[in-house]
Amino acid sequence: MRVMRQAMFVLVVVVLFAVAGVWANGRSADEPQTRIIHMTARQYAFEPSTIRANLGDTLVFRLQSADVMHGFYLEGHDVEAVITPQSPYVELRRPSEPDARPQKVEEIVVTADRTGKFRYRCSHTCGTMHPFMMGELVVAPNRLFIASSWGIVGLTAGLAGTALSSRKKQNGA
Amino acid sequence: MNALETIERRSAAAPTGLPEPSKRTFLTGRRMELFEKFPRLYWLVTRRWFQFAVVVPNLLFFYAFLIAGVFGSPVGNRNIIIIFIWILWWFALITALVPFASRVWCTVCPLPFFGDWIQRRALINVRTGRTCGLQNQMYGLNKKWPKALSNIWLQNIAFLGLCTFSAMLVTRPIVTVWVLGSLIVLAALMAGVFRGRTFCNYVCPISGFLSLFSMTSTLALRSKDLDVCAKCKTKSCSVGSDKGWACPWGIYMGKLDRNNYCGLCMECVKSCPNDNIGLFLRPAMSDTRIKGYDESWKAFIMLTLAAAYSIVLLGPYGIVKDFANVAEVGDWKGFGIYAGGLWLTALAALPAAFAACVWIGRRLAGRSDLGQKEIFLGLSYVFVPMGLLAWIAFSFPLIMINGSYILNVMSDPMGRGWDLFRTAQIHWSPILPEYVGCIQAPLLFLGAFYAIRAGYRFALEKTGTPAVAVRLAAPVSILVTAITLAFLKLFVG
Amino acid sequence: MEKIGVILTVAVLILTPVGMIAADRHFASGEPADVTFTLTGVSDGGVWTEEAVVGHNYWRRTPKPARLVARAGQKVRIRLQSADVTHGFSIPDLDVGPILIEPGHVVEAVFTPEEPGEYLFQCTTRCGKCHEEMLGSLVVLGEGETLENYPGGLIKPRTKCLLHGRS
Ligand code: SF4
Ligand code: SF4
Ligand code: SF4
Ligand SMILES: [Cu+2]
Ligand SMILES: [Cu+2]
Repeated sequence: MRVMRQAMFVLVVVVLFAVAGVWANGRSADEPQTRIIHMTARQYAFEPSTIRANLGDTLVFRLQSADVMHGFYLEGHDVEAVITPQSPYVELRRPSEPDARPQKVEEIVVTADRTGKFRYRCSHTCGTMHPFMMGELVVAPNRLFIASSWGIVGLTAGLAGTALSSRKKQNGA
Repeated sequence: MNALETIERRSAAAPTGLPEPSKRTFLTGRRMELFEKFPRLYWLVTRRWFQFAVVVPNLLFFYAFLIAGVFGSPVGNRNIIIIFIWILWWFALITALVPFASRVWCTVCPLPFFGDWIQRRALINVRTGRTCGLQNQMYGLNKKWPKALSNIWLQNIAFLGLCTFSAMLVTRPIVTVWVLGSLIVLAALMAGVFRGRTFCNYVCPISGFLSLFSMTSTLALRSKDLDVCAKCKTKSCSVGSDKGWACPWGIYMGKLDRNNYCGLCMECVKSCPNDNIGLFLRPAMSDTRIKGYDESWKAFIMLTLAAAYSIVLLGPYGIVKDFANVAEVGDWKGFGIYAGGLWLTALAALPAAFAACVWIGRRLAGRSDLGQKEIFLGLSYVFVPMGLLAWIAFSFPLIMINGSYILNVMSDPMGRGWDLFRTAQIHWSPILPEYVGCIQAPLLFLGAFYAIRAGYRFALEKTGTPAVAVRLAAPVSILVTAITLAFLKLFVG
Repeated sequence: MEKIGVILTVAVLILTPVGMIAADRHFASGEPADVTFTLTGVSDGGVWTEEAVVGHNYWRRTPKPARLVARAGQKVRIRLQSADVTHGFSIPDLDVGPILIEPGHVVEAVFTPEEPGEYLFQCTTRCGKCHEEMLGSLVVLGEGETLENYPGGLIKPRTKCLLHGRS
């Protein structure tokens, strides 16, 4: 029973901290805007390697390769493209429609309609480190991060609280 | 008792807080004995052919992987050795086998197969006879491992050295072949020279983290009743009998109170004449005692590596990838920065930060009777649950992003155009990649929870007074929180 | 019991490679043709080669550039694969390709050259520093011709690409 009570206490503290954190930081101030991103893929990185955007922004990706063939798979946005070197066009396919024909496009337009961290990964084998070639799109307000980092502070506080209220050890040492 | 000396240090601590009545065991708290519950399991593991039967399939697989690594495509993500070992095996090991089944990998591991064969000249049968006080006939030189090396420092350094080159190891099939091949050869050589599984105990790089993290496991092999062991005349678990080999890991059941150095080979279960060995299911994170600086440093190394890999392999920083990928890029200066940073953090910076926290905690607690070493060792356990969960969090994206490669290489293990199961052409398709963070964050939480809780529990056990205990462990718990925040930033921030 | 163990072990040690070789033979035999070549594209050094570029030798050396030889009227099958990045294969004068070759996959080009001559093939997808150098030739011999008495002489195998490493 005691253990249950302590667990409940810790849980409540964690949730309180997380909710408070999101409440205080969980809104984005900026108006939605359009960002044009000139993305260069090389073995084994994307440039820019991190993109920060706000919820509601429109992102326009223009992709090119500095060396060999690469891919561009944007998590959570149903985008996968093949980047051919020396070509202004990329071949865009939608992972949700595996049988549809890839389209040749000059730019990929994405709406940042969900918050959090979404990685863009190379999806076309391009050498040894290919599986680790990626960049990050962070769409603010990053609620998962805010909630979890405040929550972890709550966890620390809550556990200290339960430790303080725990019974004395008889046969200590 | 000759065979017991090697493990003296590991078993030195006396059991604390044993329950009184008839059966004394090292396990406190809730538990369930599986051999009693599932007699068939007991039957199975006491068959002489049991370990052979579970090792041979793995021997076949590893052998095939090695062949694929040498003669298959040099493209890592199209070669089975890379995908099966560094994605499938690693993921299964760290997320399932270690936390739920202790060192069961060592039960089925093919690496020491030839070594055992050389030492025993038997694959299945047991030989009776006399070798250095053991009740088995053994071959090879049967030397004793030097006392100075009877710790895991060698393992720590070898492991860190190996991991410095992991960007090459996990992307080039041939490098994995070299490493696994050398491990097999080394295991065989060492078995020829030294008695028992000295390779496993002191050298195997996998063993280092298996031993550390198996402490968290919900499975444990233990003596069912320590009084029976105390009265036992034969000590067959340790010296062998006509039913089983002397414990290859040099363990005496009467003293085995942690999972760390038991390879679950089940020889002792076969040889114990009193049927006094049980396989227990128990709560996670039950072994909490770190018994030497070597083990503390293992914990520092593992946590540092989890962070380093999260930055190098899962991060967006191309320059760091180039540093680590020195074999292709050739930037030795950059590699020096990377390697130096890694070694410095693992061996000096993290331990120093931790030692400082311990020292401040002792100051705050104001108890002069608590030595720095004692508290350092005791609290360094917090990095065990934390490290394990950080590794699990690191490993989830591997399988969720690249799981489809498993299907590819199953059909085309060498990237040579085979199509065994018609899955060779499946397009690379990550599974819910945008939700990886939603799995990682709770895992990090769990790690921090277990770590901080363990810190306070240890402090309470040492001080007896909650208020003092909190002061003693608070700085370490803040360090844990800070590191967890850093991981959160990397994974979801 | 012990005997069974030894037999099983020996069987594993022998049958594993045997099985793998058999599977490799099986999957290598595709559409029947008069001559079959296996051509591997290597980015580092920029070569098309007939040598097997596999785990143990890829990192050690740049393989020998290929010169394929067939007779006019023969059905030619080329199994194409890549040892690293995506390459492209094309023989413009024979209307073959361009075919994309993704690493770890095998694609085939099957055609029947009727006219004797030396046909150049090159990489059609930028694949690194040595991409421009990534040339090879298919020599189609006419009646009574051999490589030695080939009329007009053959293109000299090019010297090695000196630009090593990534682009
Ligand atoms: S310690 Fe290493 S070599 Fe030994 S059984 Fe375990 S994993 Fe295998
Ligand atoms: S043989 Fe059995 S009873 Fe004897 S010491 Fe070993 S485990 Fe205990
Ligand atoms: S204690 Fe038993 S199961 Fe563990 S390594 Fe020794 S013999 Fe094997
Ligand atoms: Cu790429
Ligand atoms: Cu090319």
